[in-house]
Amino acid sequence: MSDSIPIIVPQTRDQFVEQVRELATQNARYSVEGMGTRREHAAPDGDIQARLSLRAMDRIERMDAEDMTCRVQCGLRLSDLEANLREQDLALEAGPFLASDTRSLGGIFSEAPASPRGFDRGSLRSQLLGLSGLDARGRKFQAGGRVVKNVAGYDLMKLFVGGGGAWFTGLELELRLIRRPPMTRLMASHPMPLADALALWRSLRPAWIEARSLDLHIQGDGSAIVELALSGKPRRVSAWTCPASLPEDRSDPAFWDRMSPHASTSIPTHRGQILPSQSPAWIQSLPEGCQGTLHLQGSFSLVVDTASQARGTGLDPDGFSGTRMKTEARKLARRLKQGLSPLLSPGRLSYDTSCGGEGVS
Amino acid sequence: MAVVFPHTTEEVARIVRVCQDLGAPFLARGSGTGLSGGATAAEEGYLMVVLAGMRSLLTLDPEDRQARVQPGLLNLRLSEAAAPHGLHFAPDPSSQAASTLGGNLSENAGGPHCFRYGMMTDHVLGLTLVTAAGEVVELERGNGPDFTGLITGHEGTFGIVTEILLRLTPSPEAIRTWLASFTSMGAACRCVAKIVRSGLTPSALEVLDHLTIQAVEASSYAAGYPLEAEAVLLVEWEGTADSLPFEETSIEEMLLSEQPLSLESTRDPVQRLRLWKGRKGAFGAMGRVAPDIFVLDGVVPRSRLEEALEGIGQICKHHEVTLANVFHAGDGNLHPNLAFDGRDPHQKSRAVQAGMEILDYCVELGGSISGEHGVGLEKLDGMRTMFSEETLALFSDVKDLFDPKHLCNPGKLLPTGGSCGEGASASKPGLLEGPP
Repeated sequence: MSDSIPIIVPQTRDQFVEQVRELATQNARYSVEGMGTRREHAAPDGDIQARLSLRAMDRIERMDAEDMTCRVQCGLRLSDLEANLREQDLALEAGPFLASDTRSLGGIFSEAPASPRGFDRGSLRSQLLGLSGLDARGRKFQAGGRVVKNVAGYDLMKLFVGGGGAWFTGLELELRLIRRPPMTRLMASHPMPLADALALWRSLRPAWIEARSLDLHIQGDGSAIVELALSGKPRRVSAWTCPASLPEDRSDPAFWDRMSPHASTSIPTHRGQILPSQSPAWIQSLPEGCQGTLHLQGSFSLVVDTASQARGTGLDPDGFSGTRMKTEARKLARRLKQGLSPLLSPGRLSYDTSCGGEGVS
Repeated sequence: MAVVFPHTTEEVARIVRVCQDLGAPFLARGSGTGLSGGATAAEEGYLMVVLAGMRSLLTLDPEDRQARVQPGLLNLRLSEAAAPHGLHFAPDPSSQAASTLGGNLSENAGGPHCFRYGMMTDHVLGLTLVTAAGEVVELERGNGPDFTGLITGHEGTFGIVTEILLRLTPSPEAIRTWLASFTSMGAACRCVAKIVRSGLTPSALEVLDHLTIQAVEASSYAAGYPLEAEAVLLVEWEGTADSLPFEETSIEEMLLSEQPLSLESTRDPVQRLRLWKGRKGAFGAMGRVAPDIFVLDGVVPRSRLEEALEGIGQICKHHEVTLANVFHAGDGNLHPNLAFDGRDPHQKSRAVQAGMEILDYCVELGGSISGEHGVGLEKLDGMRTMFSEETLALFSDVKDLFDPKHLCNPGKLLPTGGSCGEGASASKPGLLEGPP
């Protein structure tokens, strides 16, 4: 990825569309970004001639508190949306995200980072009801809609979430919201050896099926902390009996938005998904000194100091998540990429996955 | 038409390759319970690949809460198999006793409990797809682009899914079910709005109107719904034994705030099944009203439910069509059932016309032409109401990449026309206009 390529920042939707169409007419390859804070962490764009930014498209276009949905432009910062939602007692179900203040919503959805609440219905994937955008040649489209249940047409939103901006350019997002839980209670263990913490985490998984999150925070010094979060009405949250193994016990409405103090503050170098039953072997394979978090359903984010530390540990030494597509799946992906969006970040299949080789031509 | 009954992925792949070589259109079919014609051949000369013989539960992993299945396994069978492990499969369409998981995947099925647990797409972790070219592709969520999400809801137009990895959900410790009856539909809708706005997420919020209640209570699905009610609201809350008492009080307060005619609730499993029997049998009970029903599947924003029901009522009145409403109130997913006698072509024509106007009206209110039944053959025209020509062209391009020869379930989901490529002609009869 070359930072010497100047960034074009169209100020309006029409300007953006015009810019993309002009690039497409020239057969120029390009990438699209929000604030650009994660470019170096994503799979390479490939050989591009232009960079476009959505940062000037940062409005909330519709807020529907009654329906608990909203429509936002992709350049809107997550922190700005969250501030607006707080005023209306609403929230995004997924999150909190690391270093959220600097990222655009388009960027967050394109990356689809793991988060404590990001599992099952709470994942970013299920928050995106509709997408207005452009295909790689600048053709406008609207997939999904603004209602919370909708199966009409193909679900192109799924290619957008986690897609690293490689399939479509999102211009506006239709989002599902929830009523902000009035109270969040965090219960945490003391630091303990990693293997012991993992055993505790596994033992709590079946019992706490209503937990908002159950995280294993790997500290980097061979120890880990298990943290359980419950959210809801104060009277209900406070009625839960805290397990003796989690003596640190605090409640605060603001905990809904904040990252745990036990979580790493660095941008993850690796992320992925494991089966909880495989977690003991996975823990054994981690490089010394790595920090990160394993979430309730097995999604994880890790910070590994160097690529060489990752080698031989089961993490992808190329610095990505370890997502390894099967051969036929990669062939299908490359074929679809070649047909749908060869000009848009040609080297990338998703945020985590490169095309391999020279990218699509 | 010819029919084949494969038993393995390899057999499906061989069948598809033969179809490729011969240029023969084909489509997959499970139990055929779909309501939009997705598994109905649009014309003569199709090969129907019936997956009923591929009905094995391949693996079930309680700790990881997942199961690998063949597409012909019935939805309910999976929950039954998972039950001893304290798990179940959450998407529960009303057809779950008869519909297959492959069909559920193809349509991105929902059901009454999807308000809390999500649609099929939230529970598919991976799948094996035989593409229209006969390649076998194994896809996993979290590895590369989210093709499992793209393929869920493809309505059989990308290829044939031959294995599915599904998420299982812990079964609740405690369930309470309420049945509230009201003197007006508006009161029921206002209750729903209060519950949704409160932030509570019941596992189900279902409404039946007066005519549906009458039909249900006259049928073998009779559940004891009050005959004088204009609407009944079925609410269900699932949770742990500890959490249930807190939510019960809140929900009851909201139900009582609209002065129901009656309110009953139960934690007893047998009584719960009784209350649900009426809801699950509602469509079948409509046979008491007329020989035929046109089951619609529109969605509107929840804040416009009352308005939508009023408008739908007006449309049906205008077309002199008998209307019975059943709906997933928490999602705004309406199922207006238009009752008619298909032997009378005028009644049928009025029902079809009313149905089209109702779906257009749902879109006008900011909603969708389909919440869970899919587009299939039935709603091809509605796709033009909902999406622009550019969007339809993009959908068509995606389909072309999976199926360049247009052999895989052609004529479904995408309307044809100059800008949408080849396929079954838009002038061909739709589902209700005559046999394929």
